[in-house]
Amino acid sequence: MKPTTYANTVAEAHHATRVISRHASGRRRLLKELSWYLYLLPTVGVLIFISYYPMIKTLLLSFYVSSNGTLEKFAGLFNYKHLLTDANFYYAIYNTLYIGLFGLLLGLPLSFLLAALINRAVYGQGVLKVIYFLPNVTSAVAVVLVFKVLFFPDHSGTVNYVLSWLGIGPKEWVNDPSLIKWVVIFLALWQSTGFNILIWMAGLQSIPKDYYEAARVDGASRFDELLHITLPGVRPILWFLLITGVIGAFQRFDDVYTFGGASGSPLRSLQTIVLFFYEETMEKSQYGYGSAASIALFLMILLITVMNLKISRRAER
Amino acid sequence: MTTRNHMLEVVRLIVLALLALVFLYPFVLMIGISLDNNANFGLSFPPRIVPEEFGWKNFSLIFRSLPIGTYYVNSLIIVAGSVLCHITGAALAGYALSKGEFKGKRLWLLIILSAMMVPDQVIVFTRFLIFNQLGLINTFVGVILPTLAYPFGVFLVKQFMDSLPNELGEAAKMDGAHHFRIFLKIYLPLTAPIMATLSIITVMQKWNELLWPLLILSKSSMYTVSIGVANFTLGPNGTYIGSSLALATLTIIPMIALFLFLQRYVIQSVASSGLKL
Repeated sequence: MKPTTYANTVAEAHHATRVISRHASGRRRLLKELSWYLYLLPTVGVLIFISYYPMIKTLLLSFYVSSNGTLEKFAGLFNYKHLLTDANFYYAIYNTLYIGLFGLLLGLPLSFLLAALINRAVYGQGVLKVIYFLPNVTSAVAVVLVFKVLFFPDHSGTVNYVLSWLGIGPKEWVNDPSLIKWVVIFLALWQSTGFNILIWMAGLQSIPKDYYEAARVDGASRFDELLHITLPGVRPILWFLLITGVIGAFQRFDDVYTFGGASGSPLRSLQTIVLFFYEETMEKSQYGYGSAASIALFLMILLITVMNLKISRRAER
Repeated sequence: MTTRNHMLEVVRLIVLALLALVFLYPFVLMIGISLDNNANFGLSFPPRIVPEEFGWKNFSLIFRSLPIGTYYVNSLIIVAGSVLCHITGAALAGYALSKGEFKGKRLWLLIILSAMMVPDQVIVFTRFLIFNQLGLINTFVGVILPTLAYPFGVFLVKQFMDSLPNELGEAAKMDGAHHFRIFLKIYLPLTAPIMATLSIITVMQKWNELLWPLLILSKSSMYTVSIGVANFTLGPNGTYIGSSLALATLTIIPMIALFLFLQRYVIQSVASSGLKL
């Protein structure tokens, strides 16, 4: 033991306060760190409640037979096996892909062409962008009513009337199971083109102007410019539109539901994947089966996302 | 050379104008037929866009047969609540993830963003079951609550705040200001542009949204405009063309008006965020 001198006492007291204050400042720092978590609380808390917990529950439910939304009876892989033999499910995948792929196949080139034309227009860029974007702000549900009239089965429908000039007889657009898909494709095309134009234009404008000037000095033709400058320049945009387009197609619900209800009338030809599990869960109360279909949809979207990523990475190399 | 360029310019504008007319035609048809008193008796041949007998009969029929006013009020409540929740949640989380001083910011960002991996449609039915158990069915809270956690909004705000210099907050911190005060007084006002983007996109998305409200709201007094229109279309009255198009007009016009009013902002918002409406 050290002798109790005045100097020692002072030194010890100093040491003690330093220890206490270091302790206290550590705790204050921790409290301060914790206070930042309060900002994250609404988002993360609600996210757990509306996303993460439902994800886990969907996965669990997919292994159960459930008619009331609880984990009623364990069924193993029964739902998945059933799904793989369900013709309605395959038809729903077919319908989803059909509408989605033809929509993109027509929509992406059309919107690229329009974007390139608008981008070069000296007058009216602003007005044209607004006009083409107008359909984008409309509700798909309400637009269905308009397109039903536009594609009215006899000659009083505008589309059939225009076709009659070309000598094509009236088509039963909205009653014909194979043609109504095209009505939905045209509806989606009409609604999405304005959005795609804006995105394409952002890509076109990001290509440095001197590339074109240099090419012109070297005597490149317009076609060369398109092939070697414009298209490589907008490739990231193409991937973006393609992947968001495909994912959007897999999520299709509003327009097809309004046209044909949960079963996708006529003759299920409009039943997309989301409509399929809407019917299984909300109308047939097959919650376990519907969940298995949901998981299948998730896996399909995941597969496409990963594939897209792989291909776009390889393309960049 | 210049004359050739002029020619090209003219041809380009003609093509663009003609296609623009095609894109506008559905609107013209919708308004023309909805203002035709005879439209409920069938379509005329050849199709006409100028009303045969001009009048508001289709609209008055809709107002008499559907509680469209209630639908409007419900939709407005949901839109307003969604915008409020959306920008509050995104601003708070975005601020903490950008300017916060705590460990694991990247991990938290990852936790929030990875929720986007799973599309809403995949989990929406299970979410409905959970909300059902909690008695959130047929409540506005049930419809609005999910908008409080919108990962992409958080991401946009975080990115925007990253571009604001840290020195702004540090000066205030030296003076002993609390980080919430710094958020409210310094950073939040500067995020007005991104808040406007988020608000515009949320308004248009929520006004048009169908699936989630359709699951949560089963009582007709709680219907939104979208649910009301979908039910009308699928019901027996969906075959009355005049009334149908009057209803479509009533649904579409508010968003068209808003868009035309804010066109510059909307187009900029969409082009900069890449978000679909």
